[in-house]
Amino acid sequence: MTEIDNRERGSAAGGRRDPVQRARYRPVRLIGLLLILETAGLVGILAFEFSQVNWWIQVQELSDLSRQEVEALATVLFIPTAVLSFLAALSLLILARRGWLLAAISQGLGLGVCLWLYSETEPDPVYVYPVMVYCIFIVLYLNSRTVRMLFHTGQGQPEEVERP
Amino acid sequence: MRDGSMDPEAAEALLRRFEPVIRFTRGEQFYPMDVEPYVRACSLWVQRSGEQPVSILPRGKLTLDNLAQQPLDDFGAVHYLRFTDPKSFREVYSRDARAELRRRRQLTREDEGVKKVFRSGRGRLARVGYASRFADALYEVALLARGRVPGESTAAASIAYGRIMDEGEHYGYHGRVLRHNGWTVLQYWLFYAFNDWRSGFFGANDHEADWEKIMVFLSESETGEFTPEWVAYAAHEYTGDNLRRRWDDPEVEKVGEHPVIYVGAGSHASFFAPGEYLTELDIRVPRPMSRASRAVRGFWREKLRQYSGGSTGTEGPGFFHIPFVDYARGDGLSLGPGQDREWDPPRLLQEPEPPWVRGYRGLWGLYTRDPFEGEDAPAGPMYLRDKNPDPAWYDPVGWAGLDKVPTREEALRISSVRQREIEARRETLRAEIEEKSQRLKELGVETEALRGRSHLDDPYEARARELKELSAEVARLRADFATGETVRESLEDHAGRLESGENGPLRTHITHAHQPASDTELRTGRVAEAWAALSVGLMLISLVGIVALEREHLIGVLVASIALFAFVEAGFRGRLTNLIGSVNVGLAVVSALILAYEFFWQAVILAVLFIGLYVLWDNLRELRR
Repeated sequence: MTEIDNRERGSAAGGRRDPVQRARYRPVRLIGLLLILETAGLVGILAFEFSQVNWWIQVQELSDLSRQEVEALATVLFIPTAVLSFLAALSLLILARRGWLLAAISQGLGLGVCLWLYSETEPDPVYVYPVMVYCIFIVLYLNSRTVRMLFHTGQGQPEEVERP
Repeated sequence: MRDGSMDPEAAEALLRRFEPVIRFTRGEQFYPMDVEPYVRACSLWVQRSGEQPVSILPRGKLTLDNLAQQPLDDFGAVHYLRFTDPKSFREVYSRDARAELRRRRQLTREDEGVKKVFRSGRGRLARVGYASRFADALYEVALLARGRVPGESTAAASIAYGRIMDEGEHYGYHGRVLRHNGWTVLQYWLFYAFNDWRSGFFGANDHEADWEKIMVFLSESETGEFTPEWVAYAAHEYTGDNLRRRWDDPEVEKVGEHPVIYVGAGSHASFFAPGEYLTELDIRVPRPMSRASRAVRGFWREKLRQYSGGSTGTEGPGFFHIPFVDYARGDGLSLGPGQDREWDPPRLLQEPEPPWVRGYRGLWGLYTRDPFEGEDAPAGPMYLRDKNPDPAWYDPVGWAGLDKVPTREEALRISSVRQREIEARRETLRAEIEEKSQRLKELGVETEALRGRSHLDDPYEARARELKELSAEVARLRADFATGETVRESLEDHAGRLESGENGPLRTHITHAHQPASDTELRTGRVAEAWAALSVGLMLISLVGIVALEREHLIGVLVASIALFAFVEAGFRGRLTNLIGSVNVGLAVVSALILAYEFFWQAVILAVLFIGLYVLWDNLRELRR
């Protein structure tokens, strides 16, 4: 049973919210807000990339990986990142435990797409670096002890005692 | 009470009073036996360095009496017994031998009152990660090159042991009672004809002959009454505090006054509770690697305040662990008072030790020349394989970590003596403090009188220095005086608790208790077990396949296949969250390196700007207060 699980139970039971407890879960809500901000940014990038691609040509010439196609692929690949980020943000704002996993997957996907764009395109799209910085920041925050303990105390215990 | 041995009658009576109840696991083939029929069934050999082994005494000629009467040999020579004969290995495949083996197994099952044979349950490999599985694969491959007990040995040993038991079924131990370091130690030396842990129970090794020991530590009152205080059971090469439990520890199961021992199948290691124990063979990783790993983990955890599992960043000596399971289920035959089979009268090893104990320093079974010694037979109860004396024999109290623990009677006596010593010391201190305090006052007055007189500069300096030193000394003496009082009170309190029969905490001496696998660990399904067994081999074959067939997209396909293996593995082990966290951290590190490469100077400028703004904000905030 994690602290988040306990928190969910408390809410379900209609218990009054303790200000100290509220302060403890502030990092979780903060991540939720940061992810909403990221989703907004990604949606902006998606819209920008979408407008740059001539979709008819791309469908006709799938074999030749041009700059246009890379951007088209980036558009496609950023969609799940944005959707997952949004879902993670919603989950975290309502303090659901699976929010951490969704957020972690979305950040991994985001970083993966950025690294792929970095290696495949020359010059690199201008938004790759800010997205990288943002994702690094969120990854470190998600992995910080304060946040991990809120989500994984108890559940992570058997994994921790396991020998390498 | 003087150290030394005890007269045989009293020793046997004590041994029988506390003799253990031993519970085996279903499928066990070898039980504790007397050494005499074993030695009679053996031949004696010597292996001199650089030469072929030479037979000294053939089977049938060897006895306990002539075992120790061997001439001295050159340095490096190893004497050893052979219980199984290579000439008889062909016999193992004969129809008669197979029928004999079947008959013995059937008898064993009838003895155990069960129809099923041993089932391993969840495999050992499913309980550990990839690194350990790779290390295990290397260990298995190394066995092909190392010396090892031949595969037919177990069957041959089983047949030979069966014949001995057919001549006269017996279950015995070798007992020794000695007074050592204030304790009366009951040593139960158990001898098994064969250790079939590897071939029978997926363990680390097989070897002919196996010596195990169980010890009970008694305190003796002034009226000569014995009270059991501690027990220690041998398990593999472990020694020290973790081996022993207090007699009143609930983990020490007892039938009347007889401690119950659960014996590992094949390995014959002894445990306090039934279950399956993960026993790990530790292989140290190179020191620079473990140091670098500790430094990175420390930085990650302490400086970046990141999560890195349960361990701290600086702990862990840096080992690969090869896992083996000790099946000590206790669902097989039970030996001991009131059990399936009773003990025969013990063979005593009291002083003067029998010649076969003191005089024979060789191995008690086949010498395979295994560099890790795991497949070599052990030496006798008194010696190690290298012919040096065994600490468990000459220092049983130290072997169990009891050398710092006195008996209750002795603890009371020590406490009383120490209290008196402390009180005497306090009296001396009191007088010394009074004298030095007086001198300190005198010096204080003198120093004050000399202050500010320029012509008395030197005497003033000398007195000031002396004043400072004396003041420090008096402070130290007063602290000693006060501490002495606290220690004396604590000793008095401790003695009071001992007198009232209170024993204090049970487990403070244990740093790493060997615990059986939990139900959760044993609950994983067969698919996970199959995956654990197949994954390392499959991964190696896939890697070769990728290198051979997909050279054009080598990196991409390699990354994808490793990711797939990692994902499946993490799924089975319930570690998906950890895997995703680790992958994210890896991606973040690569991205951070790219950013540092592309924007190094911009990052430096930004950092300086940030620090400047922070300092500005901090100072302005201070101004506003």
